Amino acid sequence: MLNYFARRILTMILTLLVVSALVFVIIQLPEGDYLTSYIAELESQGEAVDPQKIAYLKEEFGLDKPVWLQYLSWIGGVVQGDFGRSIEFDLPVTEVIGEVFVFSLILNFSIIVFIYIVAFPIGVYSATHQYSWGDHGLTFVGFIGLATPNFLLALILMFLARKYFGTSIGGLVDPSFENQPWTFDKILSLLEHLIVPVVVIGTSGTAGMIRRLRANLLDELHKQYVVTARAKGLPEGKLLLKYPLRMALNPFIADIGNLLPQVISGAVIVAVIMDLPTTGPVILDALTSQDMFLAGSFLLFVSLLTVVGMFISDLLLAVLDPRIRLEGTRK
Amino acid sequence: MITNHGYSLVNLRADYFRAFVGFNFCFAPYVLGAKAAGGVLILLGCAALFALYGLRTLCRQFARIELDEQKITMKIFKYRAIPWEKLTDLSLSYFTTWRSGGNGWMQLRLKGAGHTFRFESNLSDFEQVVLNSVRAAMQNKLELSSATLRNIDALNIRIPESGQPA
Repeated sequence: MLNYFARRILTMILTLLVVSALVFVIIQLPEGDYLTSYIAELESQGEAVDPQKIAYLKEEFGLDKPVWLQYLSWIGGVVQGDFGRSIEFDLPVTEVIGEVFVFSLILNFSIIVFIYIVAFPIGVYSATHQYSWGDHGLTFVGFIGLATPNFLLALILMFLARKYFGTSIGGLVDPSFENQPWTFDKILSLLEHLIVPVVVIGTSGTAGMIRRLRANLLDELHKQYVVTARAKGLPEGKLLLKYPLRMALNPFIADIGNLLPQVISGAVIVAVIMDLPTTGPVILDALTSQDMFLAGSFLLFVSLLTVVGMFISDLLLAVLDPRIRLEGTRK
Repeated sequence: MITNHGYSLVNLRADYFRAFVGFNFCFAPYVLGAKAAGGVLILLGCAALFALYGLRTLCRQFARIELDEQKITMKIFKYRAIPWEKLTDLSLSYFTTWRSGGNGWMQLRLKGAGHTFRFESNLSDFEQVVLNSVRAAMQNKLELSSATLRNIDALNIRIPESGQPA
């Protein structure tokens, strides 16, 4: 096992290093840098550009140094918890992310819980009642959920809310609570505002998960061991829970590797449309303005969550499914 | 007939390389002056793991394994032996870090006489060690797991009905 852990962790570290370098280089690929865009913006507004200020900013953020030196200085800070300074906001990256990170975490965690809670019983029902009216109905709703882009659903709901209820459903808390300390009322407001984005963003994920769980469970239910167990008189509920359902749970667990990064970076377009104060729009802004330290830190964190998520899902799968082993049979 | 086995430096160089690279990557931030907190603390934990891994590889390099008709012995710092008639458990596992299932390695675990020996497939004449161990397991009528049986089969060691591997 020590050998396995050492190899996996080394692979994870090397992967993250390569990803961090790639991210840094890709952000630098477009011509110019943040300051070039800043100068162009000032000039387009007819404002004078102070060369001394530009030179100062270049030196301050190390933009006058070669790319590899900028990268080394950034990655050296990252391992110590210093993610650098956002050029656009002129604040440390951790401060820029601050509250939006918490909102993002709450929203995306709620979405994941919503997906699991809704998809699990519906998927099981659809598989155990294949081709029934209920299955057809839920499949129809599932396909609509899969086929409808989230941002379109968000626009429709916002329109309906405005037209029929005269209310805006944008944002995650009431405007009066913005930039205020956390109170019970603010938490209530957050919970109230969470419902719509969770449903909007969670719909396609739920529909996808239902289809996968249904397909996997149906595969298992048609296997010979199920027929044998049924023939031997095992009660239907016990038979379902003890064997096929356990096997069909694999996609739920395997999805952790994909879901963890989404906790931070998911649903950017919906967040922009619904004016959600999450990390998505901040990443988008950072990428378009070439704020490399902010964008790089976000993307590195997403990569970290991906590799850690994969590792966790591999270990959980080994525990959950006796057929999958870290130590197994050579093929 | 007595046969001697060991891990050659050539076979262990990849393990040494991993231990060296992993330890240096994880320990470098602390050496370069980072405070032991947050991410640096996690890296220090990983550095300890790689140090342990390196130490284990070093022990393997000095390990001397001897097989004969009566027993299997291993000497690293001290001499330990499992007489074949006292072998109580045998498992042959396959590990891989690849999703495709390839590029993995095997591990033979033997238990008996109060000792547990673990040998990995980069041991010289690993198949010979497995063959002798399986033969002893058959004689002791040990029950082998299905994964172990399939891994034995993957090494082209056949276990006939009589229980004597060929």
